[in-house]
Amino acid sequence: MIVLTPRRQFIRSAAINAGVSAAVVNFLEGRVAALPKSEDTDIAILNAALALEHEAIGVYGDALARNLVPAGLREYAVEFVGAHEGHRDTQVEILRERGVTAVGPHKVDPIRETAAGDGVLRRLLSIEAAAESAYLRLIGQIRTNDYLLSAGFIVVDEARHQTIWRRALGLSIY
Amino acid sequence: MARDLTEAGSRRDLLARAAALLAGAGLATATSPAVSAKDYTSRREALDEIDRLAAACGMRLGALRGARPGAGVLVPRFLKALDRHRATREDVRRSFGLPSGVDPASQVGEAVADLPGLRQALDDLMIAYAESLPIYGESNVVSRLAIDMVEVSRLRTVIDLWAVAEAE
Repeated sequence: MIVLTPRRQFIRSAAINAGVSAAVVNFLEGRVAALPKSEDTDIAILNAALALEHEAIGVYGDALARNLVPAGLREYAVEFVGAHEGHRDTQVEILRERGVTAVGPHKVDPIRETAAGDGVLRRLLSIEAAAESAYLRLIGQIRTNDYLLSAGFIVVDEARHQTIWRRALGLSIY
Repeated sequence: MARDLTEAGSRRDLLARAAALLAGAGLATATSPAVSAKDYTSRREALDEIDRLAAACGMRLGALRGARPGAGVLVPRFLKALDRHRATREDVRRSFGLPSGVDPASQVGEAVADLPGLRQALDDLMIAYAESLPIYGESNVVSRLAIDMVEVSRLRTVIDLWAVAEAE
């Protein structure tokens, strides 16, 4: 029996919300070792990644709109939501080039906290950690060069975001 | 019907996309690295380039040791990470039947102990990793090198934070 960590549960939930294929969900959960290298797999991965970007944009948007990001860190949140929007747009464009309509944003659970603080930062960190983990897990399964290159640039972004939030929370960064 | 873009997406489109991502990460310069991005023609060329850039990072880290407060703790950890990455690349070379890479100890030259220079060197290394991913053609190799690439991104961000802390 596979026990899902909170990070994998988050990825699973975001992927399922976005209607990601069962094959990708199973792969992310470690139930299958590899995905067949095909156009369908690339599209399924793109949609899974897009779901994570929608989730991140939704949560960052909620945090910024409700002024929940601690003072001094708001600039980072603005930068990071912009990066996630860039990741989203890139992947929507790659899907469009393939003649496929991208999945739209899904409903994102609002942040529970009502005031700026570590709880909010932990939520933002969890998204970044989940995104990095998902991209790293999926990147080797990507078939096409253009998407592989884009995914490479995206995952280094997620690592940067994660490091900044870990530092803000006083967690080990290296 | 979906288009098969295995070879498609013009290089210009691809680089524009990468440049947009770099801009999102605050990495773009007037001549963004992605705009003059390399199209690696062989696995060996890519791995040689990464080895060269990693050695340059190592030299800069070496120069930093003892030159700045805090370097005594961070530099050995960073160098250890670069050693680990080199071991991964050597393993990848073996799996592809390629000769060993350059020994970083054989590299000579002067390196300046400055954080912006180190950050740029780590940027260059990270970008080379990303640009090289399409040339390998093996899932497990892509996954292994992507993990190291992400660690380089983390090192680069730590250097960013270090520079900010020094400036305050």
